[in-house]
Amino acid sequence: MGLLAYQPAAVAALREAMEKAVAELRATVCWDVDAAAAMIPVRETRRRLEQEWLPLVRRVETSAALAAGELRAAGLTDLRNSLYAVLHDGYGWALQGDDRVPDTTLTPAEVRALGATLSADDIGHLVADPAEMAWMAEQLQIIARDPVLLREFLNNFDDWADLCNRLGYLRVDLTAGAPAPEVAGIDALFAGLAAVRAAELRVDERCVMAADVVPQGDAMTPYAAALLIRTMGLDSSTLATLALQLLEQWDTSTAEDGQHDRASSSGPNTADILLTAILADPLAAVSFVAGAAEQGLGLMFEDPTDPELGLAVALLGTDPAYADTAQAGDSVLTIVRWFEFNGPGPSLPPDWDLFLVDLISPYLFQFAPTNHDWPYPADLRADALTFVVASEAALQRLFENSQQVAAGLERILSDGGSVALGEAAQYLSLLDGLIRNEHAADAARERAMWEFWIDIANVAVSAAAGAAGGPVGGVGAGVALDLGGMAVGELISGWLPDPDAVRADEQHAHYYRFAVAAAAVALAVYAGWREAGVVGVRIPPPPAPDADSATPVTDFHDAFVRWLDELPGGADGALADDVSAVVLQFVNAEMVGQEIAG
Amino acid sequence: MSSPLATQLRNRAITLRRFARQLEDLEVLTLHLRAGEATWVGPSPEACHRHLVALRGGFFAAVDELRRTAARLERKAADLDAAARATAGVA
Repeated sequence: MGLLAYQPAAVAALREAMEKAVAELRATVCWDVDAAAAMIPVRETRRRLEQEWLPLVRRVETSAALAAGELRAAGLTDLRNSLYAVLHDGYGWALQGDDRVPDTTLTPAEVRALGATLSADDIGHLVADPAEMAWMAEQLQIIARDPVLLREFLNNFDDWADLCNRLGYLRVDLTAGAPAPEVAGIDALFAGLAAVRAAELRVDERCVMAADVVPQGDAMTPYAAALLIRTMGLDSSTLATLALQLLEQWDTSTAEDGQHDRASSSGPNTADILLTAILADPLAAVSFVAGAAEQGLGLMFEDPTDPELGLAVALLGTDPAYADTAQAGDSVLTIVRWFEFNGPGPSLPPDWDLFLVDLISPYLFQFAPTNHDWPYPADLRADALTFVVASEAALQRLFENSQQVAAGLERILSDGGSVALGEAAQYLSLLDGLIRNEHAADAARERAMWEFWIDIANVAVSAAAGAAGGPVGGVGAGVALDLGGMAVGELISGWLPDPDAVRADEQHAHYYRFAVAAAAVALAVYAGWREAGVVGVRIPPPPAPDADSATPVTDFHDAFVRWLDELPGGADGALADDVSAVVLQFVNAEMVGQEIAG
Repeated sequence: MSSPLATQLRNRAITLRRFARQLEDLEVLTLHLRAGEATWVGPSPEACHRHLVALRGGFFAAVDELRRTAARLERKAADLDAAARATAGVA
C-alpha cells in the first residue's frame, strides 16, 4: 500500500470544485446531430467524476489521518517515502493510506524530497535494509539519466561529503573482517552517486579537471572519494591524476578520520580501491605509474593491503602495448632503483624479484651500454640490470620471458634498421656475458639459456638478413627457406652444443654462441638470395659454426672470408659487401661486448 | 435573401459555436489545477491529476471539431445562396 499526503483545506476546495463541475456537466447538452461527438467527453467526464474521483476526494476528506503511531508502520521512514515525510514533517500535511499501487516512475517532487532526505537524514536505517539500498541505488541511476530529475535532485542535495563519508565509514567497518553482504549495497549506492556526479559534470562529453571531480573535496575522506570516482567513467588522464592526488592526500592526512580505513580495517583501503580502478584502464595506468615514479613509489608498493595490486599496476603502466619506450624508461628504472635502495617492504610478496624481471623484460635492450633510448648513464643501467637478475630464480624467469625480450628487440630493430643492428649485436654480447657471469653449471639451465639465446638471436638474425636484402621474417618463427630439406631455424637449432661440453668450458660456449649468431645471419642472407634467384645452387651455403673448434669465432670468420670468394663478384663484389656488413657486426660485437661487460 | 435551407444551416452553425464556447468555459477544464501536488500527493492523486489533464485534451478536441463543423455548415449555406442567386439571374 502506498501513502497519500494531502492538505485538508485544499482537498475540501477540490471536492467543491468537482461537485460544481459535475452539476455543470449535467446541465451541458446540445441536441444538434453534429454535436453528438462532443457530448461524449461531457458524459464520460461526468461519469468518471461521479463514480471515481469525487468518491475518492470525499473519502480522503472524511477519513481520519494516520496517527503518529501508524506512520512508522506505514513506512514513512523509508527513503522511497521521503516526499511524504517532508510534506508531513515539514509542511504539516495529513497522511492516509492509498490502495492504488504506486507508480514506479519518479516525479520531480519525489526527487527533490529524496535529495533533501539524503542530505539530512540518518542513513543508518538505509544501510540496514538491503532492499532500501538497492532501491535507492536504482533511483540514483534513473536520476542521473534524466536532466530534469538530475537538476531537481542536485538543487536539494548539498552534502556530498557527509553522505559519502558516512557510507565510507560503514563500509570500512563492514570490511574489517569477513566481507559483509551490505558492502555490495553500499558499493551500489556509491555507483549511483557517481553516476549522478558524472552526469552533473558531463564527463562523457568532455574532459574535466581533476580538482573539479570530487564534490566538497576538502571535506570528503580520500576513502570515500576513491569509492565515488572509481565508477564515474573519467578519462584516463583525469583518473590517474586524481588517484595520485587522493593517495597523497591520504598519506599526508592529519584529519581525525582521514585514514580511518588504514587504522580500522585490514580490508581494501584507499590505495586498493584506486589501484583496482587504475588496473581497468591501461592508459590511466601509464600516467599513474609515471606520476607515482615522481611522487613516491611507496603509494604503489607499500600502501595497498593487497601488494599484488601495485605490482600489477606497475606492469600494466609500463607495458609496451600502451607506454612508449621513453615514457616507460623513467618508470622502469625508478622502480628498479626503488627496490634496490629501499628494499622490499614487509608487505610485498616473496617473489617480488620475479616481478622486477617481468618489468624489465620488454626493455632489456634499453639496458645495453650502447643504447641511448633512455637518458641514463650506462653504468646506472648496468647496475640496475645486475640487481634484477642477481638470483637464480630471476635468471630463470628471464629465460622464461624470452618472447617479451625478443619482442622488445624487434621493436628497436624495426625502427632503427642497420644502425640499431650493430647495437643489437653488441647487446647480445652483453647479455651473453651477463648470463655467463650468473650462470650456474646445470644441464637444464644450459638448455634454457640456449633456448633464450636462440629466441633473442633470431630477432637480430632476422633483422640482419633483412638489412642485407634477405628475408625479414623471424627465423625461429619458421620462415621456410629450403636448404637441403631444412629450414634456417632448424639448422640453427642443430648447432646447439652438448650441455656437458658447455659446462666443462663456459668461456668456449660464449664464443661459440657468437659464432652461431654470425653463422645464422650469413645463412639467412644466403637463403634470401636463393629464394630471390640472386644465386644458384652451385653457390654453396655459408660455413656452419664448429662446436669442436677451440676458437669458434675466429674459425668461423676465416671460413666465412673464404666463402666470400665463391660468391659472384668474389670477396670484393657487391654480394660479399652486403653479407659482410651484417655478419661481421656479430663477429666484431663479441669482442666489443666482451670489453664493455668487463 | 437566403434560402430556408441555408438559414437552417447557419442557425445550426451558431448553435455549434455557442456550444463550443460553453464547453471551453466548463469548470471541469480547470479542475486539474486544484488536483495537483499543491493539494495532495500519492498514487491515487497522481492518477486523478493525469486523468483530469487527459480529459481536457478530449474537450479541446471536441471544441475544435465543433468549430470545423460550424464552418462547414456556413460554407454550405453560402454555396446554396450563391446557387440560388445564379438561378434567379438566369431566369
